[in-house]
Amino acid sequence: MSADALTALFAEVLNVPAAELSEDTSPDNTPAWDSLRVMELVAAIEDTFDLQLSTAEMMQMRSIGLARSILRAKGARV
Amino acid sequence: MSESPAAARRALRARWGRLQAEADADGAERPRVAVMATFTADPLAPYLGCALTDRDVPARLELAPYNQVEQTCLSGGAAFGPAPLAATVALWRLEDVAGDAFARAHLDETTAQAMLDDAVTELAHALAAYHRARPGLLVIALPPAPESPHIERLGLVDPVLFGRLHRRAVERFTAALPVSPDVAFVCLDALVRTLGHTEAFDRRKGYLFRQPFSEAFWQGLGEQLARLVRARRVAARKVIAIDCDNTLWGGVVGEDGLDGIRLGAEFPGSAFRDVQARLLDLKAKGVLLTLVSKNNEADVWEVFDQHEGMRLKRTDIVAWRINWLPKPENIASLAAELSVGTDSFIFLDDSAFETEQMRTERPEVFTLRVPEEPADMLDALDRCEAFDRLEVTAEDRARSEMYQQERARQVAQETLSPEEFLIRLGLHVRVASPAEAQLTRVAQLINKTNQFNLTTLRRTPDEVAALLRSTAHRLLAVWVVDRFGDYGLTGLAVLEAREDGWHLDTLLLSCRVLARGVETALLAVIGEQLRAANAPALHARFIPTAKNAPAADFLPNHGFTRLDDTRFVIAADALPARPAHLQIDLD
Repeated sequence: MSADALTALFAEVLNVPAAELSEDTSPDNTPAWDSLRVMELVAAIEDTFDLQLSTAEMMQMRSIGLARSILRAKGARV
Repeated sequence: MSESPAAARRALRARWGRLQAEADADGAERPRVAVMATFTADPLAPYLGCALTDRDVPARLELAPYNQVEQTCLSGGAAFGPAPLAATVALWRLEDVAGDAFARAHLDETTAQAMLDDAVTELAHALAAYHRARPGLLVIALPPAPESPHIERLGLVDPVLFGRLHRRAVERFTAALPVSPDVAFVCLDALVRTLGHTEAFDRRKGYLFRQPFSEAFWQGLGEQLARLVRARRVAARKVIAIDCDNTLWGGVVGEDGLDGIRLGAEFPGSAFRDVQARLLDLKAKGVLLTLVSKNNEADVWEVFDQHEGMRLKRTDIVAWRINWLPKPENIASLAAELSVGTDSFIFLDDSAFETEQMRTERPEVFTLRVPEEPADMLDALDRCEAFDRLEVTAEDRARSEMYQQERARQVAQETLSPEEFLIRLGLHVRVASPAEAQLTRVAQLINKTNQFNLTTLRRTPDEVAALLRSTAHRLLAVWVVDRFGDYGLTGLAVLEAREDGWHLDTLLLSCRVLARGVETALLAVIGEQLRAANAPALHARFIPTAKNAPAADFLPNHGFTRLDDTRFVIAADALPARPAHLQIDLD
């Protein structure tokens, strides 16, 4: 899985062009990232990388960069 | 390697995103399906949306605000806007409408039950109000077994206590709902059982996102709901054509002989016996059973007549083609014999060759290959959506019998002159305005009659109800009985009174009662009513379709004058008299 796969996943779920996303993209600077999208992001990440997030990880995942480090810690190559 | 279920779900969600973008871009009108729920239901959208699209219902979904089911109902669905809805789905859980009852249950079951009763009755009344306000299909959830901090799901006592409360509350709820062909149910408890509790629920999401279900649950629910919506829109298939060897019994009767085939109490014979039991259920629901088998006819009937394991009897089969002709050809000839289209057929066979040939040559036939593993046969029938039907009318139940009677009638016809035959039929035709209770049957006739149908105008049950109330319109329903049996409500005319006379908006007859003078009798009754109302003329149209050739000559043959391609007219006193060979009752 290339490093871009995670950005592509966020772009698809948030419906925002990948070029506009960065590691700092977060609910605070992205209106599309609302609580419903969080639910979709969790489902997309779990199904794509075949892993299970804990509730703590779900809550910590408040930027693309944070999501990446959480996934790397769980062994996903992102 | 095949895709994992999780990856398949992920792909479905992405696809729904693309379908919605397409819908936004083309702006085309799409059927709308609304969803209200006492919990977050957004995860349902991609699964329901894709499942509907795959069933030729490219719907748009509308979600009511979170946990506002009663408010949405009592406002008549204001949140969904004024445009018509193809269907509305209402999802709820006991713990969302009466969670406080569960805290009481251990101390005082009676009070807990009363609290649940009140809450579900109130909800049922709100849903009834919504149903009155918004025509269209309303799919109502039956709630899953409740989940609550007060319920020890794996305890020794709670499953019994809360199971009792759950069952009673569901009974109370359904009893308080209106009985209507437009109200259907989806059982969330059955869905949870099918998946298993561990697969169906996701505790993390219950706490974080106010919805307790797994993606697998949402996917299963989306499929189930789409099946309901589809079953409401598509006519159920009427005929099943069944192979014999390795479908109705194990083995090949021509080779293994009567005593060699597997059928009866012992596996694998018991699996085939169960398939036969299921086929009998289908017959009871109005599906016609037919055989298409490459066999010697005598061998097959020997099994039917003499094998102790047979559940099906020869009299359950309305028609058969037991020969060595290609099966697509045999299906076409069965369709002609039964006066139905080949698109009304389901074909059941174990052979890869036969099923492939049918799919290629007759794609309109729904072909189901019986699995090689006998233990999987019933599940394969369960999953087959071609069998889906929401309601069973009295005519459906009696259909098989009527076709048996038709066979007797045809035998009688071969030995008499046509005139003698008609007289001996002892036809009684009743013509009357249909009652409310017959609306479902009338709508079914309007939407399913293809052959003897002058205009093929289709109408929803709501539109039929509106016609019945209209003072400008008159509906005449036709019931037919003869000495071979009762055909039930099998014909309809819709008339509209205008200045220049009456206009025949619809005239149709089920093909089962054609060629007996019933159509002429109906026209005679219309003429009598026309003259009683001092209307000068009857205007009619014939709109040709791919299937209504049997009605093409009806108007000219009864003295109508052709005005242009589709329009005809006849003076009131030129309409035919009652045919002498039948008796007409009016009321």
